[in-house]
Amino acid sequence: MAEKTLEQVSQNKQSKLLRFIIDNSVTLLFVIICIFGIIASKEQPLILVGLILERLTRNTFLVLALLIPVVAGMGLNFSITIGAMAAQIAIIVVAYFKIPTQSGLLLAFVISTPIALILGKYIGKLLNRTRGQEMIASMITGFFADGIYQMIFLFMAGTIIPMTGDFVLSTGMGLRNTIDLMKKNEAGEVIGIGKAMDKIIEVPFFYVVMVFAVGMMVYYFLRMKKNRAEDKNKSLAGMIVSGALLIFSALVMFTNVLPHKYNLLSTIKMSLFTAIVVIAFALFNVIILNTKLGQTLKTVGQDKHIAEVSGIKVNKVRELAIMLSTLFAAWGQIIFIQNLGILNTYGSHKQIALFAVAALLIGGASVSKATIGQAFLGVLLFHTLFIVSPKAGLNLFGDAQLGEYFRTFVAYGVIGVSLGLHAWKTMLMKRQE
Amino acid sequence: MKVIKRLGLPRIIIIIFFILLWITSGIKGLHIPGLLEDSIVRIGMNLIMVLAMVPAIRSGIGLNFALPIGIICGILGGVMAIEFEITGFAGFGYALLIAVPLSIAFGWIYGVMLNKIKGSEMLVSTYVGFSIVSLFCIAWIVLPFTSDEMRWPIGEGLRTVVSLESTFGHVLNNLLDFKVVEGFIFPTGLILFGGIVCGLYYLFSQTRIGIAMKTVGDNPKFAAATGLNVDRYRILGTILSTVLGAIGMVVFAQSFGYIQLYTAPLMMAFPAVAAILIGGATAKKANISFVIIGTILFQGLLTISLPVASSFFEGGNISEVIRMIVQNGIILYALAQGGGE
Repeated sequence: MAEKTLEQVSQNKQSKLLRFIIDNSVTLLFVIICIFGIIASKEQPLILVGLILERLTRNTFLVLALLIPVVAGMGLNFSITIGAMAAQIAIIVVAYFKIPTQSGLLLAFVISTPIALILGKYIGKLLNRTRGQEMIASMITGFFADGIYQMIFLFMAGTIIPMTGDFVLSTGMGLRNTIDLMKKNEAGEVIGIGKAMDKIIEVPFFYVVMVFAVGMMVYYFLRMKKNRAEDKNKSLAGMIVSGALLIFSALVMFTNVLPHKYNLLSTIKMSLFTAIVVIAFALFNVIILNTKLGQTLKTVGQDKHIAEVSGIKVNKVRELAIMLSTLFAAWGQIIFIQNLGILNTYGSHKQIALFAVAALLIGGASVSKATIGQAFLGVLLFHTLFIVSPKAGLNLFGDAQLGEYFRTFVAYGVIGVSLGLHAWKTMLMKRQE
Repeated sequence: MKVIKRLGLPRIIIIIFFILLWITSGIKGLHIPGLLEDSIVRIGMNLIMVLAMVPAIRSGIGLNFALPIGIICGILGGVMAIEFEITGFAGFGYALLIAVPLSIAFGWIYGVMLNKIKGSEMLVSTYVGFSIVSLFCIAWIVLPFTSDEMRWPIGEGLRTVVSLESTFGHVLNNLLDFKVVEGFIFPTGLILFGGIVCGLYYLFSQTRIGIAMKTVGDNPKFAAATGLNVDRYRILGTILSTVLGAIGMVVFAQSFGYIQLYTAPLMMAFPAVAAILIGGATAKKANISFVIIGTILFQGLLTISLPVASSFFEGGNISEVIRMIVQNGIILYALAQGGGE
């Protein structure tokens, strides 16, 4: 008997490890692919760190917009594309009336809000009519809305909608493909909303790292003083790591002792304000999910019938979830576009849902469960892959295009596999009942 | 009123729009015979891909958004025919000879997979289709094709568009074609081939296997109770759908005169899905008359909307925008109709 239990224990341990690997297989696989990609791309650390940092600040907001519908049991909301369209409408208005920089940006947020909320309301109503198929319906809704959007800006602008000036094509109908948000006036100052948010506070990245490292050191120091002996090693390790980070940052910023390619790291700038906004939004998500509203959302997500019985208006809650998601997507898209500094009138919104969903899934989320940590991790991994794959393709196969196709394949593939696995699990569970 | 309710508002709008466009083209003095020819060619080249939806719907897997699997098989067949420089009808036949066994194999694997994800077929199949197409984007660069027809003169891989002029372009369209009036040549071979495939499918659906497959799709529980192997018939439906997708692609390519590689097949399932829905199908009910009516309405609409629109104003591909709105609108409508749990 005793032997058996012992065996069971070791089996349990093994199966636990196995479970961890299976549950996180997608994320683990991507960590490996990313490391391999970074090595193969031979990218300079300067460029890599800079690019990843920029993408983390500009893309995470959009990925976070996916969380609330997941909690409400509606799956991955592919119709965040429509939120992005609302943002672009606002950006076009702001750029058209030449409202400069920060005030333009603020106005873009204000204008996009009601548009996104109204559109979100209708998407919500539509998705309530397609229960059980919300994800495909939200995707098709995105395509449908794209048709309407193109109708408006390709054929109605300049004809039905009175628009003139350099935005409109020479035929007098339709807007140009790209709208420059970094336009300068005679004095050489940017008058568009490009980078308007990023520029509010911009500091060298390694200053931020240094502050972070000091904070970490203080934290571990206090812990070491307070805690028992066994914890001391951990705290010591933490202090050493943060100390190393601090010293490295200081060397990068203030001296020339490091090799040139590391010294270049000192030029990396971080848009601190945007980063703070993104982190604040992430915290806001945590808070909202712990309020009464969050509880309601969770109840609806877990079991609609129980929610109905306990007096929750399920359809209204689901509508609200989509409204919020669409609104956040709109804000996220404004952050994204102002960072790019250029609006691709007919293209900027197209890939938004694909990349956001893929990033979230790569972070380890599923159709029914997603966390903020997964969103951040997912953006980090997905965009690392995004940056390195063309160069890796070039170095390995002599063709950058190959890397670009690879990353598209990865985006579609990871969504397909995740959705398939989820459907399979759901079917197995149904069968067991 | 009853008719309106049965057809549904979107279909009535599409039919009215369709009729209005033809009337407008008459009033505007557009070249009607030319428009008719274009429409018939477009209908003929899309017919089989729309037909591919029928076995999928009948066997209960719903609208087959993973049609690109079949389409890729068809493209592979066409590309192989060019590689070995087989021209004319032999080339067309060779393309089918390669495409059909491939699509049977792919369809079978895919059918087995679909049996594991019952209830989410449409969503997963969309992304399976997308994945296959983007995987083959890599393949078109890596695969060792040597034909100068297809390779970029410099650099790696195949061209994005490969001409079929020197191999099997238009072989079906030109078969037995005759002039109806000046500027209207009827593509007899194309229509005939489409008709034969539809007819064969009809015959199949009347056989014992065909009826059994329909039973499985209509009511899986009842079918299982009567001793039918539900999963096997679902696989059969998937294979048939994939094979028809492959044949449809080869026919499409020969009529178009070009094979488009890389991302071109990405969205090809959606027009086929939309056409059969416009014809009156739902995610659970389909027959061949829906295929024919739907293809005529949808492709006819798309073909003449461009010349009619450009007779009013210059610039912009309004046909593409109308396609997006009509196609996705009707799919949404169908999803909403079948909604509720």
